[in-house]
Amino acid sequence: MAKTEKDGKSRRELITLGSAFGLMGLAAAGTGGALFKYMFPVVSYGTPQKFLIPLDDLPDVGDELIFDDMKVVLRRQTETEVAAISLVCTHLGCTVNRVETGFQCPCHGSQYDSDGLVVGGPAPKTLPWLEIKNVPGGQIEVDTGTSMPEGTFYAVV
Amino acid sequence: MIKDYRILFILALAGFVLLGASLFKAFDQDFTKHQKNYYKQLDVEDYTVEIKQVNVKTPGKVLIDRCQSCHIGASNPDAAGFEPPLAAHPPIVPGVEKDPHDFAKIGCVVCHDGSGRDLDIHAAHGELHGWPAPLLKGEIAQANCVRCHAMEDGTLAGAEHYVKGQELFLEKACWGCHTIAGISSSSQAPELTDAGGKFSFDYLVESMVDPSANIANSKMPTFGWVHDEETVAAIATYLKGQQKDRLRSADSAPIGYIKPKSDLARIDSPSVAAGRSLFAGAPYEGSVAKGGCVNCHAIRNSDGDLAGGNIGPELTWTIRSRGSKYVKEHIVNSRSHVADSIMPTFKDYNDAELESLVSYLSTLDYKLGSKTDGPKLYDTYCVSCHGEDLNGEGKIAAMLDPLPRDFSKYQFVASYDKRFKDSIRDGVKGTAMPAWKDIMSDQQIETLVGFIKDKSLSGHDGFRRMEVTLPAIGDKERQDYRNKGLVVEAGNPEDGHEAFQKFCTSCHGKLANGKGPNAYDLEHPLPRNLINAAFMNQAAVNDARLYESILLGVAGTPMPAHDHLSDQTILDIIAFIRANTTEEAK
Amino acid sequence: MNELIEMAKEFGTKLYYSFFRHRLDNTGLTKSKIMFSNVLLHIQPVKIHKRSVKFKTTMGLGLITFYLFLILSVTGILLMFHYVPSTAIGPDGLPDAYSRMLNLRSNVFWGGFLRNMHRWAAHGMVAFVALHMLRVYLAGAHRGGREFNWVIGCILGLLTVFLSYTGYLLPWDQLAFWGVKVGTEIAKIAPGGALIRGILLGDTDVGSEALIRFYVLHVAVLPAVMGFLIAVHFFRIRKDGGLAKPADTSKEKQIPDEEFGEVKNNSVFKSARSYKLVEIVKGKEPKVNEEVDQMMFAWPKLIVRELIVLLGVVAFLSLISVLFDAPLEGPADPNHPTNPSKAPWYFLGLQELVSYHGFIGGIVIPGILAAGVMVLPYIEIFFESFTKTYRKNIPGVWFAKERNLENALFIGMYLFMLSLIIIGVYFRGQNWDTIYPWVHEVTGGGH
Repeated sequence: MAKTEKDGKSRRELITLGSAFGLMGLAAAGTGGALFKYMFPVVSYGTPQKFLIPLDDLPDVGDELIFDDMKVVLRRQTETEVAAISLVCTHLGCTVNRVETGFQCPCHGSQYDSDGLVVGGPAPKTLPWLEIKNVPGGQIEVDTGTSMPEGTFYAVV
Repeated sequence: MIKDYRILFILALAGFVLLGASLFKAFDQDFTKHQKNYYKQLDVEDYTVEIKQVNVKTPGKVLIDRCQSCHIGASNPDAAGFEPPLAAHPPIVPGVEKDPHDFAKIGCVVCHDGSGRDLDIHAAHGELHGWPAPLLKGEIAQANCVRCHAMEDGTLAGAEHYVKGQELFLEKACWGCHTIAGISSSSQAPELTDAGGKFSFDYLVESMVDPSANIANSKMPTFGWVHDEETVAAIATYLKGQQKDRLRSADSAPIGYIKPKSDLARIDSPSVAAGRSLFAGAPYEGSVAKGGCVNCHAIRNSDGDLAGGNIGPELTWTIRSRGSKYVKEHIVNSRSHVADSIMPTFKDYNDAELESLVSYLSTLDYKLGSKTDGPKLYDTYCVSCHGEDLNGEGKIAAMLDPLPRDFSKYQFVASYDKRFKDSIRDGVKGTAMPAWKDIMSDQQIETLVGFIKDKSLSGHDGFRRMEVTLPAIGDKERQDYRNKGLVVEAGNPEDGHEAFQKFCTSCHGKLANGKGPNAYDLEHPLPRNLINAAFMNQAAVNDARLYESILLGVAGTPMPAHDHLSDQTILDIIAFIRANTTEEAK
Repeated sequence: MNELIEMAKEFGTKLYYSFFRHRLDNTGLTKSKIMFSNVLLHIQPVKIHKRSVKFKTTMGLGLITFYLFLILSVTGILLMFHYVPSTAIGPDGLPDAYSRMLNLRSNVFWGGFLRNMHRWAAHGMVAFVALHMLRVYLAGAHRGGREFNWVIGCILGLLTVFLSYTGYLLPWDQLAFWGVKVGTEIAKIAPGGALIRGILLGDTDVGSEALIRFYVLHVAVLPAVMGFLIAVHFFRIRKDGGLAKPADTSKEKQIPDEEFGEVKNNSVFKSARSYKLVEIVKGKEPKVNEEVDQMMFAWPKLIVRELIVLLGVVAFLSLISVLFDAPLEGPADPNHPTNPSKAPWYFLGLQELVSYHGFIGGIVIPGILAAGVMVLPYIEIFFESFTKTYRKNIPGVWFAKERNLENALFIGMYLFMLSLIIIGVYFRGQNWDTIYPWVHEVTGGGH
């Protein structure tokens, strides 16, 4: 009898201590997760990844508009279809120039055709086509952090 | 042991819960709720809740603006009817089809201030203690139009409130004391060229409504218009817009001028009408309103109705009592006549403008009939300074220096009533008391003196004052007992200076300007400014009077008797005072 | 199958013994081994006096102070990831250091919470250093060979205040700037103070140089010195025989043995007494008789109790940090002083004194407090030696009768400083005029 009582007591002790340590472990894990998130600023301090363009500012049909700051060219195919192509060279990140035949990188001579496909030089990949979203209030939002297959046009309202 | 383990468990649980609370607090941000609500109202289903950040690029600066994380509908016309903070921003420029301000590029802080980085409503709106730029709501935000737009050459559409403030700044004569670079130049009061950069809107409002609220010993008068909230708000908006630190220089400023501003026309041919406009602070034939005398000075029309400010003396009789030369000089530099006048120096006026003002003032000709009785005379000519109770606390008295005479002290009236007639007739130089001889007849003056004496002395038994005479220099008959019977010599200014520092400075100050440390505890009258040359050099202030005032004190004032001083010392002090106010000393 | 289990068991055992050097049972040997084979635990003795774990003995004050130091180190290092000690005006017109504070508040997940933790823990540490010192003195624990440890403790206390003060400037807001400015103005009064001030500020006034120097002091120099002195402080306690205790503790009511966890005796000698470890402690001979009965294994009781204190501190700090945000005013503006300008609260007593008399308030009284308190045990010894007073050695006893006079004086000094601080924090308004906190809002810093 005395033995079971003692066992029961030590089991209770063990459970209490175990759950206390369990909670501490969980808290430590939570802290770790929070600290992981702590290391990344919520919004980057540099140029924002997404930017807005009012529909009124879109280029004419069949025309293009280059946004220097954002390193993006906006192309309007039809009245309602636009696409955005990044101007960041896939080789080492220089900004490519728009030339008659397509795009050319001034740094190491990568050449792209007008759809961004590599036609020469060291560039490994096609220039990224970017995702475009309609934003309420007559604006579109271009996300420079995305990469869509070439020829991806988006319908704008 | 189990007890310890239980405590450990409970504390671990508490710690865990509090960690959760801190994480919840970090996650729970207002913009999430607002964005969900916004998309729900617009029936948009595909959306991501995220911080909407605008990096506002200006030459040399990038402002981080996250306001549209909550104010997400600001540039969406479909959100016009939404509840704040989701509502669309009302148009800024009136009468254009599409507003040129693109919030996706310029953000909100550029106009509205607050803290653009913050996401918490109180922090973002700059409500936390000590934030330098609290939110500017509604029309007040027009203060920031000039951060980008240059206003020098035009009037900005949509900045009406600001423009009104600018006009009021001139109309209300603020410019007379305060400098704003390019608008006015005066060293009378703090410069306001960077008022908006230094002070918050509320501070500016408070400083106008209650000048001593922020600077305890401010000399700024409380104007009559401060109770008109609209006026104060407009001026404060204008002042808030005065910031040295602009986002655009004049040449890179965005266009936006609709109506060209008139050139700063000056009046070049004197006329009564021009003077009237200047006096009222109203524009005259395309000139900018740069007057506003009426904000401080009242005038009476020919029916005797009084209108205007309560800060300086009434000007109905000023040409008749002072003459036009004096008035012109007084406008340009009031301190040349009255040493302690607070009137700003309007040195920018040209001759034509001064002439206009004088000719306008000359048209004021209100006068009482010759049979008027004492009370009526007093109520018309004297009451604004000397007060209804004859106690020298009339409604404009507070801003006068020296203060108007207090006749409620019957000892004073009983002792010096012989001087009254001359003072009224010829005025008291170096003070706000003008000469009335061209306005009142001798008989009226006597009536007035009689009225004052009756009112002041009634109910009091007589007051007798000792009579003394100024000791004659070298008079062997008269012995200076306190100076071991020596013969009195001519006063020595250097000895007088020493004696003055010993016996007089606590009230009259080291500089003898009447601003000694004890003067702060005195109320009325205050110690005399003894370097007020105009006052000291007039005929009535002769050595005999100074001698009597020092030896016996001045009846009915805080000036005590100094009969412990020897005659020689008093003469030395008088010599010192005189030396301060001779022509060379000036 | 069985073989597999055997192999797994062997693997597990080897894995376990690669981490730990002890078994997991209730024997005294294990309990000893846990303590001395674990790097975090070996700082503490295997066996402790029973009264060491009693709340009344220390109230955990020193431990709380130490934990606050640890929390401050951890949160401080984390904050360093997002901080730049620069007054350069950033793109949006705010000084860099200050805009980092805004970033912590708005653009760093959990940043505000960590800053709150750091701020409140710093204030807490100053307060608990003071309480710990009060406890040590009133319990006479600074005597009996521990006099020099008291001196080290005093230096640690000064370091704590100085650490807190150097950290106060880093947010570079109005509160920080003017708080530190006032503090350095007080330093000017002291002889040689201008020199020290010059070294601290690197300039004639608080500015960008001062910020860098305060930063280096705050994150590197002072914590390093502090860490070293803490090690010395603990080492000496250990070598002085653990917590101070009176010579005879047999009459004291102690926590019963079973509360310390069961100890199985697996010694071949089957005698409980002979196997108890003998500590190497100060004293004439190894303590065997009644003293040994008062000794207990440190594992697990002491460790659990220390853990309780740690969790309590963390939980309480979290609560405060969730509820109250650390103050942040507008960016530092050297042209517009706050009115009043108050130093941090632990200097407000000093500021209050200085407001009465610069020399007496700024040098004489604080000098007596700092230097006098530091050599207090030696003053006691001096008087005892030269007046030939023999006082029964009474370290570790609260409010010993023989020490009534000293205790009263010491409490009096605390009350004096406390009331000055309370006056400075709550009863001083603009232009250092007396105000009443229930009439006027208290502003101008102090916290």
